[in-house]
Amino acid sequence: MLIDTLKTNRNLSQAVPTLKSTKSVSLAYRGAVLSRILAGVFGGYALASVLSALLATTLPLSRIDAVLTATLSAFFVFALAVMWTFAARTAAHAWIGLLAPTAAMACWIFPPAWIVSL
Amino acid sequence: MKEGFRPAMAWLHTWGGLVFTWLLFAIFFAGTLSFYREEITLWMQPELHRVQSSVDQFDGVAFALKELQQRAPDAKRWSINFPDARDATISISWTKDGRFDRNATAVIDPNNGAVLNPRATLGGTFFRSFHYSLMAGPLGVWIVGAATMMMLVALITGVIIHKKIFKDFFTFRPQKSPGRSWLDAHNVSGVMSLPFHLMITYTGLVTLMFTFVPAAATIAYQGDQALFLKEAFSRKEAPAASGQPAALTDLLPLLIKTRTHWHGAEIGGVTINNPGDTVAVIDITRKRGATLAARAEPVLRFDGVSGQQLNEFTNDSVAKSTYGVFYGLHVAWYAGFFLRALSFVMGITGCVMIASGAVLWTVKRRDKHTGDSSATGYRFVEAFNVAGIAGLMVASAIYFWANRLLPVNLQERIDWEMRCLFIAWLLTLAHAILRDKPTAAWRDQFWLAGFLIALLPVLNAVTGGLSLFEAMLQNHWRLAGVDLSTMPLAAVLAWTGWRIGLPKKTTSAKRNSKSRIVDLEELEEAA
Amino acid sequence: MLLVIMLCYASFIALCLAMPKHYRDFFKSNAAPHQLLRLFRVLGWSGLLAAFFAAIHSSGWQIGPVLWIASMSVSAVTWVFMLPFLRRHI
Repeated sequence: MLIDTLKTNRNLSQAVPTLKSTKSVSLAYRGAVLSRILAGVFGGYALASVLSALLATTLPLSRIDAVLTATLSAFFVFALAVMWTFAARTAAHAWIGLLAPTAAMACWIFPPAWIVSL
Repeated sequence: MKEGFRPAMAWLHTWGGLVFTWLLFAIFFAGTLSFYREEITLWMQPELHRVQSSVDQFDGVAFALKELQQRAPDAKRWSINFPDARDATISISWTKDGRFDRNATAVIDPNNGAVLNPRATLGGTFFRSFHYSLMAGPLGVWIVGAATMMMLVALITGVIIHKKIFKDFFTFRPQKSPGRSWLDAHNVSGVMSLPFHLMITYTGLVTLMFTFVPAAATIAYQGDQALFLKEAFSRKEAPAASGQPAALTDLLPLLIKTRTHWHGAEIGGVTINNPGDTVAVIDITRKRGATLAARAEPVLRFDGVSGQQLNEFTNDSVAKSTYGVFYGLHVAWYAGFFLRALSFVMGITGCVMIASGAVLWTVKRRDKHTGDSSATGYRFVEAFNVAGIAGLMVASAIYFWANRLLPVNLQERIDWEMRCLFIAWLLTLAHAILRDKPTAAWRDQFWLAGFLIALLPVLNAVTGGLSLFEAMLQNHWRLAGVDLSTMPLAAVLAWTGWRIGLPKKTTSAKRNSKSRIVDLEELEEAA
Repeated sequence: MLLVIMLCYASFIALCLAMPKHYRDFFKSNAAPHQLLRLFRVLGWSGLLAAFFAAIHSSGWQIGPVLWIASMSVSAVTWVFMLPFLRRHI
């Protein structure tokens, strides 16, 4: 644990010189950051929306209560999703981590024909 | 982006925060002023300063009904808003082509029935509208929503990256290096009012949640918006008019009966559907803010001809109450004098948190980037800081001055007041960019804002308002409060301007490079 | 209501002085007697608890907790931003 902290600190102090000059920031790095921002904004919003829709249709409450509860929880889901995109190891991980559960829940709400036929 | 969870969160906090910082400051600033929306509006309408509060809430009902009868005998609905502790007048409104309209209203003195003609102004409501829409319509609402979402993320990541949250709980060291002391200020104002910041940010999203995340409602109601709104807000449909005329029943006994029914609670307003028709229906609503929950005020419905009680609409769902409490916490209708003042102070704390975060960003980088290619970028951030923080204060002060100095009968008066504010704001930005030294720009603008604000009580007295002295003599504290609050505000602004101009800053920035590196490492570790 | 905020304010002063760092700083002494610090800590926490019940008593179970939290925040912020000035001028 202690070593971990030390390591992070070392990484940080090393990161300072790289930030000093914008030229040393590579194009790939910028692309990855942009990708994560897009994942956080759109992927996060999609995840929050779909989860709230799923909760609204499945919570064992009256319809209006389920809708209210689901919508109230959406913002925390969104916030956590944004944090996830920037904590994930790579940008690709971030996308998968958001889109996979979103797709799964979307299938739950609107089952595609081939799942229904099984 | 950096490796590791905490550094990644620090990156998100810093850069995400920076992108929205001026917007968030403006939103927080306008929201903080909105806690005193009604008082500000009163100040900005000197025509209403001398209205005495009536003995009983219902004193002016007869005048209001007479006025409605004269002005809009054929309207589908009439509405009367009763005076309360924060507004001494009765206001009436009626529908035009089936809808309520900003121009179809009148303000009445409840003591003598005189129709008052206050100047056209948005008053404090401007700050509320700007707070959630930036005066830019639906697009503005979405921008505010995105900024607020970022605020929520910044708050959570801020807690994660703040390593010594309890150890540094009481730590504020203005005598240390600028980086250190601004970080302290940012931490202290963030941590101590964290419950407020989290609450106000989350509940802010909640107030517009059906706009921001419509998915749940759309899917569950299969797109039937009207049904959803009806179930969510218990819209009370009124029966259609019959077309047969009938005399409206006497309103006063119904009001008194309702007040007794709610154990003496104040009444907010009355809506009369189909006045003068055989199927007239009268809805009496309890005054908002009697409980924490908003948008759930009980309504008593009466037959408008016989005066018989028809039904009582109350709220019985847990989720709706939760929603109402979140909404209520944000708009603070429940807050009396004391809690309102506390909310205001916490709002200012939030402004300080955002502003100190923005300043911290430049202070940390100011020394590192003198002369290299990104120096222009930092200069612009610095200029935006000045205009976004001090410039907004100047512009807001100008709004109050415009309110009193623009001719009363000016065409588009409401728009001109706002234009003055936005033009002043742009000018402060130009000044901040053109001024040679950032500290000089800060000082100029803080002093100008302080000066303009300090003179507001004088302006009020000489442009037809009830002067501070008279207001205090008459115990008119809602009005005197606005004038009184200008003094500490101006003093704080003047002090801040003076403090920023002190040479101490430059000496500490010029300290030997070794101690600066130590400081920077300390900063990186904490931020 | 004034009682609530005064209790909160006093409690935060006590809690602040209960930390060795601030104790030394404030009393300008190198010693930080353990028992005194504990006394401050106990006083601080019980003061906040008392403030909670005072808030409930004055404003009920709905608005009382809001009043309590708001009072805590405002008094803590006020105290911290006053601390450096006190240190310099007393």
